[in-house]
Amino acid sequence: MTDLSPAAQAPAYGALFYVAAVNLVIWAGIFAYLFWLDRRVRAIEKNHTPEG
Amino acid sequence: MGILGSMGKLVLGVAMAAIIWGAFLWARPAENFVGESSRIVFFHVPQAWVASLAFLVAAVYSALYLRRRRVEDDEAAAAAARLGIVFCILATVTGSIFAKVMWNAYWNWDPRETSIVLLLLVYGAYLGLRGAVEDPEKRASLSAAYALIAFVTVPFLMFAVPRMYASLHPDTVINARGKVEMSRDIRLVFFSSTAAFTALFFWLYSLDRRVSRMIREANAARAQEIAA
Repeated sequence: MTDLSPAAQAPAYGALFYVAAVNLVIWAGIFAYLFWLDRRVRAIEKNHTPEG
Repeated sequence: MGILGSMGKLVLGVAMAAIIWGAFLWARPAENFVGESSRIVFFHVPQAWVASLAFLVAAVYSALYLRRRRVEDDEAAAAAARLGIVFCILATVTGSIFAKVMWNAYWNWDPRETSIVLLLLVYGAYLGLRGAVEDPEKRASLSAAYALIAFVTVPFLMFAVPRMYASLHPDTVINARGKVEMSRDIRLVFFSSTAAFTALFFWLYSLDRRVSRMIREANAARAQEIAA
């Protein structure tokens, strides 16, 4: 009988595929937050820098 | 603008994603390790390297503070020490996961594990010292002197102690024969990861310093308002 569960249809990488996917999602979250924070800090710096 | 430009940050984001993919799905596992446990080297060693680098930066700025007495140098040293502790904790956690897979226990009080705990205690005391002294000038002077003394322990605890005693820890990246013995794929992912973690450290470091400067300026403006 053929196993049609999602796990059976996953790529041959097995558990490593999921570990990599979870790590990528975590990194994407950290990176997006840092990028957002960096832009906010830059905007505040611009507002507080005296012109001329 | 921080150390990396916007494009540099985007490149770092994509590079780190590629490294994660390469670490788990492209590089082959190293020989003489249980299962896939060797893959942790792509994250654990760069984290330990960044922690050493951060403590070095903290020591350099502490020496500069003692020489020039500039508050910016004190802030720079504190920022580097804070990040050094964060990366040191990450290296401890990843090392502990590796220990569980390889030796079936998260903690074995191996010389390498003991020395990293001592290092965390030494730099934890640095943050404790900063929190305990209220006078800013006294705090800066005391913590700069402490950071210099603390850095003396870094080469000893990170490089000397683990080589002086028999350890379960695998060979270091540059092994006892003075060579980097890694296959081409492992070497590529490993050194890319080390470079990416170093860039990440400098990005976080620049963010921390910029926020510290804004807080200092805001405090000075508030003090002026109160005085007026």
